[in-house]
Amino acid sequence: MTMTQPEQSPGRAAHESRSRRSAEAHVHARIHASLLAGIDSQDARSAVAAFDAGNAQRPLFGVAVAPWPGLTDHHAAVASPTSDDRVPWRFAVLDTAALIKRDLLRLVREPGLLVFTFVQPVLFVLLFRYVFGGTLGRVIGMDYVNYLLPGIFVQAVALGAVSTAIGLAEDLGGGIIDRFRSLPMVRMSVLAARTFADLIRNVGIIVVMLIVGMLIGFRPHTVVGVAQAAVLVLVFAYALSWLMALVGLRSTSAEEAQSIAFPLLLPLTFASSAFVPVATMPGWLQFFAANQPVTIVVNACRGLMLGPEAAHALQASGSFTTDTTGYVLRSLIWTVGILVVAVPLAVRKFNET
Amino acid sequence: MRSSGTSTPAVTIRGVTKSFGEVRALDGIDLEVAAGTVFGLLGPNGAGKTTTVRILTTTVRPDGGRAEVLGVDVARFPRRVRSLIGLAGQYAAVDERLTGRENLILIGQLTHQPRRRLRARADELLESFKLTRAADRPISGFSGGMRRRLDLAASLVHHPQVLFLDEPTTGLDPRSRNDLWAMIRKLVDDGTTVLLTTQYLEEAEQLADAIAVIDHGRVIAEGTASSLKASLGATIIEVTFATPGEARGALSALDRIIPGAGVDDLVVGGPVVGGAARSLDVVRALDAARLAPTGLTVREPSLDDVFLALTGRTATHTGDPDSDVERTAAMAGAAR
Repeated sequence: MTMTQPEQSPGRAAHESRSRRSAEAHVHARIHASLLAGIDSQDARSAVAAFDAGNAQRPLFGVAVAPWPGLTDHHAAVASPTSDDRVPWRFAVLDTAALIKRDLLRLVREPGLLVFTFVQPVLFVLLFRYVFGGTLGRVIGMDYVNYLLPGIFVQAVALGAVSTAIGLAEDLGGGIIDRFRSLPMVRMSVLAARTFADLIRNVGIIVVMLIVGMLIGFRPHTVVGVAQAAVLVLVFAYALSWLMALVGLRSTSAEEAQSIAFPLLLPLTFASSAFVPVATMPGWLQFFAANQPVTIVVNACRGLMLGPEAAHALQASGSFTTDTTGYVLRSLIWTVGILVVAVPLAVRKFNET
Repeated sequence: MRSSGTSTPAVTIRGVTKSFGEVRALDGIDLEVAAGTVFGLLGPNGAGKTTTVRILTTTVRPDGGRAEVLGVDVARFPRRVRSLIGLAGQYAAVDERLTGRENLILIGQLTHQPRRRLRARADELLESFKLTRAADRPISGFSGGMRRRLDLAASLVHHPQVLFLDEPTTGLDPRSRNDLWAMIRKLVDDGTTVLLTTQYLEEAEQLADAIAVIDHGRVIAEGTASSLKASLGATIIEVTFATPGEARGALSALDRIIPGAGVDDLVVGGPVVGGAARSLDVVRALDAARLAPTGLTVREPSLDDVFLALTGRTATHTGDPDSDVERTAAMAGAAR
């Protein structure tokens, strides 16, 4: 039995499901009351069972939305308004905070992870600056360290997103997610906390990279530009974390997560404008490199950090195909696009049991 | 399904089914666990024990049938169920990189315990599970027994009324196992209902008031440990010979004492009624037949024996091909 019969007109179906919803809410309210009163509510419960037999579906976000007059049918089916699922938002916040603390503690307690997170990007900066910088600076026509730093920011947080995948795969494999699932907590907070913890870690990475960059000669145009670029990188990295959460949830082990995530992220970070101008690549690669999100975000950061003059120079040399504002807008579109796809998929995968 | 005004059962399962792809993990299972008791769910790997626990702890949704914890439907009101239950055992876990205390406080936060009580509750549990001294060390340095004790403690932070223990002592050494058993007994004395799964009849016997044996996702026997053993004949006698030929020869000599005895390579044996004293009759019969055994074993029935009797297959050695099939067939015959 499905909610919408094929022969029904959409309007009629919507109407029916609305009236059904209010009836449903009524039944649930009755049950809730009888449960609270400690009365045997067998009859009421079987009524609900019969009522919901067709559209029993677990709520997508763990926190259900109360039946809302303007809610679409799709939302109603996703968040079935049982009294059971209505959880104060306070709990969502508290649970997420508790888990963020846990994830950050885990990061601090694992030296290997800490090295991977902070030392690797610093090594990249130093190696590119001093090994390739001499040659590349001449090709690009500007101080290479200034060209490099915005690229390294994005590369560092993009590769760092792998740890979202690894962390979730580890939790799943270790069984602690099963424990979490058996607790009266807000389930969504596991994914929310994981991605927020990685956001916090990324703030740390950006600060470290800025300090190292300044030490080796990076000279941004304005502080405001750096701050804007940092925010842009952070929101992009947050979107990537959700994508990597999906990878982690689909993996059976941390190793598998890693081996799926790196082949995805390495081409994105290297076949981009992060280290060299896209124009130096072969034609077939240029099309991918010029349009893929890492290049877009790197160029946006470059424009914001190095200032309008440098942006004009990059546009004149063909490195930029549009102005800074254009890259910033396209970065935001990519970020929102990735979130719109990855968040629902990751949440659904997480709730799938 | 309520009986004459008594309290609501802690667990009620009616015709629950669950498949994972092609594999039918639960095939219409029925169970009822009375409140305040310990219930043992006994069966081999893959019998459906863990799936049953996962459905009752709302981590897996049943395909069909009905499962309730304290009268609350697990599929319809999972969050209510989650506040009533605790889960520990092979598939629950603690965070390796946090300390014991941090783990307990985390679970306290996630179960929405009063903030002021978190520390006190953690201390209380660390104390009663003899973990106070290790409280501030990361779990990665814990022994297997300490880990299980912390796991059990973590499942109790929010004072659950029904506790699910999925193979709580699998992989533990005998001493840690005894420790854990003592702790579980104490919980039950305090009024917690416990449903535990185990592969060991001894564990079920030590702890459980009632036992259900499951196989292929169905309950195939229910009772107490002693009633299950009694259904076999109280004692198993096995005689070992130097050659398979002698063993086969002994079969007819022992036929009357061990009704329907089975032979497996060098071993002849089966269940007897009348206890260990029947071994004297075995010795006399062998003497009369001029057969000299190299070994004689008198033992309590194991889960294997109960299982053989119920299913015609061994329970714990299912992965071991050599001679198991033969032994299985022989012993199954013996058990009937």
